[in-house]
Amino acid sequence: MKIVGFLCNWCSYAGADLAGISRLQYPADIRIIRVPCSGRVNPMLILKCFQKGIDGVLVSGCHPGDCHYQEGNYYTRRRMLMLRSLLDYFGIDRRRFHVSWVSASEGVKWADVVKKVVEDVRAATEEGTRKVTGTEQIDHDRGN
Amino acid sequence: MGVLKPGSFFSLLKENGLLMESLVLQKNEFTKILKRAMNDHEVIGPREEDGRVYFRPLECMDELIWEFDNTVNNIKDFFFPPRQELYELKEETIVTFENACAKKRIILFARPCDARALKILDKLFLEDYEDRLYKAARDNTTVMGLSCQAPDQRCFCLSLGGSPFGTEGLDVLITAFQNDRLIISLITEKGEDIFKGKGNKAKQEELQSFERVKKKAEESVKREIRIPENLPDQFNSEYWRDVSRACISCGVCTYLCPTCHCFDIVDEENLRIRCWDTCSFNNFTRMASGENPRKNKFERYRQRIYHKFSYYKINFDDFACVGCGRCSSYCPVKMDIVEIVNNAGSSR
Amino acid sequence: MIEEIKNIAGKLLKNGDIGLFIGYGRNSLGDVIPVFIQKEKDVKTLVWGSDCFYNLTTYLTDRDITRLQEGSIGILLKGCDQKALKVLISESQVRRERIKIIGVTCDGMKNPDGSILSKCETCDVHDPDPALCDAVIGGKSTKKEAKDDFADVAAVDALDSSARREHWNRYFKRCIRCYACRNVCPLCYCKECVLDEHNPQWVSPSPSADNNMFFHIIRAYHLTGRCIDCGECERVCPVGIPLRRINRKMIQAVRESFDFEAGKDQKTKSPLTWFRQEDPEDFF
Repeated sequence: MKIVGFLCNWCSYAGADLAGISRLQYPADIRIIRVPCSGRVNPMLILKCFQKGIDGVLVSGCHPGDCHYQEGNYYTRRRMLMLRSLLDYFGIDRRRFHVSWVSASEGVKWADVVKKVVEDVRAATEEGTRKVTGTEQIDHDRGN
Repeated sequence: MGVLKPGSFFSLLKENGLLMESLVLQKNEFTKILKRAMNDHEVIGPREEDGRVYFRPLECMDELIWEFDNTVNNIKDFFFPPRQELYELKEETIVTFENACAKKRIILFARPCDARALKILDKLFLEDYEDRLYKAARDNTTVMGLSCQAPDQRCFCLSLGGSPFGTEGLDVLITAFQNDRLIISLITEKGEDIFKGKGNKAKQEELQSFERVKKKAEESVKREIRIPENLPDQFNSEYWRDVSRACISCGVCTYLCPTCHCFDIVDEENLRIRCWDTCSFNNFTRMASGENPRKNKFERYRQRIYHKFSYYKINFDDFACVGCGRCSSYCPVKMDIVEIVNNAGSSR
Repeated sequence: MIEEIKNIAGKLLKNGDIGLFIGYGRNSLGDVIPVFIQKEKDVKTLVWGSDCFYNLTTYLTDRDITRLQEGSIGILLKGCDQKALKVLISESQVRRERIKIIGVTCDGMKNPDGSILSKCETCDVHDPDPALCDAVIGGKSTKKEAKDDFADVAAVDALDSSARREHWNRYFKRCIRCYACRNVCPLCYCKECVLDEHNPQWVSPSPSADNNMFFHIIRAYHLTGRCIDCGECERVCPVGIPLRRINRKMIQAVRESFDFEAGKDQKTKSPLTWFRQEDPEDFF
């Protein structure tokens, strides 16, 4: 199972690093991409992940009010809330796309968040009868 | 143009509606024949989806719609599909998709205009350069047409050399008759093969009745497109700017047009795919440098008209239009190609 | 009402107040079409009726129309069209001083079979907005609007995830990527649409059900908090995809989460471009 995590450099990435240093165990299904701020995460990047067949996406940033760039995560909050609703509406289960606020000192929280996300994505995968992506179309050549 | 092979003269006569054998078949017998054919053929026909009729592969003969004006899409979809896989890169080897058509196919109830478009497309896809996928599709497909006994008032096939009872591009032409009978005009050998030994030869009165219905249908096509002789001279006229204002540069007219054929080639992961493209789009002619010779809307609209009514005629001796009327009917802003072409000659 | 429209348009053109008037006309088949009048003598081609459903605002962001046009542009707008214009003004896509807006009372547009368009049943802007328009035509509308219960959205929300995928797949298999929906939309005005970008390519242009779904997701996302439900996208789709059902989901989401409705005034910008400290969330 492949899960992509967009982690903001100042809080979440540091928090994940702390989890590592503290030898906390958490599932290895998550692959991390470091971004300067969760507000940098263009929703199109998340859509691209799903197009490529990634099973789940996590965006993690500083707690609202504590953004290193003052306001970045306020935008993240609005954007991701809307994106989550929209994806859910199309049948890309809510459980496949999560957002979390993890500060630099929250190593334990980070491990918990990843465990929860992996659980949710696994549940969505098991219940779902379709892969997230495929190349289904009206088969003009091969007969439908 | 090549040596006339023996027998081809007769095929030519047949294809143009002369020397054609006609039989009469009961509707339910026709359905039975097709049901049997479904065992080893893919059968494509008009099917209803959410209130509109489309040509789609049929799952069973019950889905077939017998009465409809014209479908949203047309049969070019099955010879030049909107999305067609060309090659796949598998572990450093290129796997070519050779014969797209796994099974033999029958297309049912193509209107004569849509079928005639195949002949127009053949000139592009089969003559100078033979497109292997298009050829495979053409070779493997039997096209059965349905004559238009009550042509839509928007149709203008006659003024372009077509007819509601036209036979160009068809292997068989089916005409619905009273008492659930069908008159089946056999045009090519492919068509004859399917109906070998079936039905009864059409009687004299039946053929006369057929001719009457055909004449009536042809006379009811009142709309006329009159391509101006001086069209080439009108290229720089302000007319194109005036008539194209409402256009929103989408792809509806081109994608639903039975003769439009432009495409793009895109890569998806390790698949190389051919997909439809349209000269209506803003960046159709945009080059890598950023230069775009048709960045203005009127240039693109003018191009569409000229391609169909001037350049294609010069290059292939045929207008790239069969008069189906879909471009105007489905245009988001109802741009009327007949009005626009007819008035082009007298523009300032 | 049509005489008043012709009158005002004619006067504006005659006085040189405007160089172009955008309104409704008819073609030789009797279909209503958008018309672009530059001479006073041509105003006689203007029409008005219950089949004037085009949202003409889309032409105000059409550079082929606006760039080479000298002087101001006059335009005839119904209530729904005016909402689109307000969004455009708030996004600085149209200079208010450059247009002369003729607002017209609309009692609802009708389908060819005489039934009223579903979007018109829940419309609350039958009367033109005097705060926006330079001139208003037609008195107060007698139409009372029905409450919009977003039943079409709720029907999809009631399905489970897999069923939703199947529901949308049925439509997206038919999509041919003609982009009529995008091009007709007054709020899709980007000179270079993200969907036409090849470097990077966000969605492949080839029409498979999944590619098509991502196209529609992207468009719906870009319209979040901006779409005013004029319904043009759904009207123009040649293969009958229920596009309003998508955009209305986001209209409802934005209403519920941010208490925001697009097109109410000329100043407030789309909710995704600002924030409140107390915004709702259900994150970890």
